[in-house]
Amino acid sequence: MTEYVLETKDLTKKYSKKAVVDSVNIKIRKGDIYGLIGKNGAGKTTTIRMISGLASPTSGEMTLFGSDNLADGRSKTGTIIENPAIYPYMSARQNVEVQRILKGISDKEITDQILDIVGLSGVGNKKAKKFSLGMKQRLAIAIALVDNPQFLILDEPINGLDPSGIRDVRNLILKLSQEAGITVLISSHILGELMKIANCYGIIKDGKLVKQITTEEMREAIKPQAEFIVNHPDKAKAVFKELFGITDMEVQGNWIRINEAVDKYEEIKKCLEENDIIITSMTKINDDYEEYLIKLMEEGEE
Amino acid sequence: MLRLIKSDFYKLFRMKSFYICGILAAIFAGLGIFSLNTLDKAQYALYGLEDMFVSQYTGIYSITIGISSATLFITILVSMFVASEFKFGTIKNIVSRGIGRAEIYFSKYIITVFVSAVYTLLCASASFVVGCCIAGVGDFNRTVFLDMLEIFGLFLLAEIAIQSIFQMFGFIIRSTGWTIGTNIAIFAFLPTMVLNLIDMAVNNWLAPAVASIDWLSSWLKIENFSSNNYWPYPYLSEFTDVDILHMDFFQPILTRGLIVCVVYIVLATAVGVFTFQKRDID
Repeated sequence: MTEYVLETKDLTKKYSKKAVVDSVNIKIRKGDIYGLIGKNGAGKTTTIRMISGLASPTSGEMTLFGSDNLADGRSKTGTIIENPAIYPYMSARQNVEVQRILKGISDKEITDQILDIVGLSGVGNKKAKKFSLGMKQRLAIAIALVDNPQFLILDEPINGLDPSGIRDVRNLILKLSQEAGITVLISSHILGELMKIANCYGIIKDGKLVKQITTEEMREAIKPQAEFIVNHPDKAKAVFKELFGITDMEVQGNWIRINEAVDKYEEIKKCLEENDIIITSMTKINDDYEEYLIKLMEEGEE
Repeated sequence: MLRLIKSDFYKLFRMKSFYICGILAAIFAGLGIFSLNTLDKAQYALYGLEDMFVSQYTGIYSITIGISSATLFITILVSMFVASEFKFGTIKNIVSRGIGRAEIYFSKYIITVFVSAVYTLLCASASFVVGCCIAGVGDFNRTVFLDMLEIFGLFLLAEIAIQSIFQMFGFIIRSTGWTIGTNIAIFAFLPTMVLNLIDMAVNNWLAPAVASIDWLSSWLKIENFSSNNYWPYPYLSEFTDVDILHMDFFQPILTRGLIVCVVYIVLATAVGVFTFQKRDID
């Protein structure tokens, strides 16, 4: 049975009768990196604020770790919402210490371990107010990581970061997911970045969750294909079948279309050339996931 | 709850303002005693009686005067401590970890009480030292010691009543600058301006109106109404008068003061917790 870390049912938030989040049903599986995407003002942050307990829903229900005891669920959750929430007059170490004490962890070494994970162990007693935005963001992640949360909620964690800061945060999230098995809910309007880490997406538009889709389902929906024109189609067919296990293909003369393994496009090209097959033309069709998601963000589900 | 209180103390002890405000409160308390004594001396000199001047500002007496310097600095620090959690956004780190909002409020309340006690003690110590330098320790025995303890306790109660209101405003306003500004305005102007206006309105308009209605005036009599009696601020000075402990004449004031302070503590805390629980955190 699928284990869900978060399930919301008709989660709604209204301000002066206007629904900014409207009957949102999110399901996040354990171990997923779930990307909540939508334009600015779509309702991402409000949804996350309700999940985190910062805003109360007008209506709807939710469960965390399969239970409606939300306080207990939130105690296993680390959160960053919008700007990094840190004490500027304290050092990185002291900021993490506040959270360690709050969580009642007696092992003081955990502070150094966490600072090491986020790459802030060498900043010494420098006050957090003197940190760059990237450092502040990493410190906020460190604070969220105290007490080994099983679920990380990150709202726009790469906002305002420079390219190296974005890469650092992205690698850190991937590391946490792969090594510690942490489930991550991450919201961003920078789709390209989100697509590098997420394996499941919730597309939110005008407060409504228009679609929830996994990478596999997206691949199915998009049906990426590749077309080749080669001098030896039979030989090419054999390469596709034997080296890449491709069976779903169409052949007409020198023209071949494959309907699977399109993500190995470059590898296929190399193998064909190594087998002395001359490629006259090759084209990828329908492989643009980003375009697919943007379309959903803008138009909703057709 | 204990962990929350511990983390709040950790934050407090790392705030420079905690030490700066404490030092300033002590300096102001000491300077206050020195200034009052100098003014007294100057008045004697004005009438050519400087030889007859005997300073009343002994160490013991100075304590009852000096502790009033604490209020302004407690107000500033409590406002900063509470509102900065919202300003820095760090309140989100606490709430999103599943900790109850009432617990968060009460933890801050304990800090408020602690800061009130520490600053009052600091001011008492500073004014005692300055007083001792000016006129010696003064009469000191077991009774005086117990009186001092009672005065300290009563003053602290009135201080906590005032600070309960300021903490409540911190949770409602959620901006450091506005909270400090509002609380200082309440601290400085409310007793002199607003309460006097209320007194004027009640005594000049409401009292005659009530008196003119027979059935109402038979059970409600408004005579020389003073709203100061129903606001904890005046009790900061009333409670530092040793006579309030021993003279029967002052017993109604003591009783009324105790009730007013307790009512304000309960009301301000209830309103503060209620609004904090009901409002979303941005």
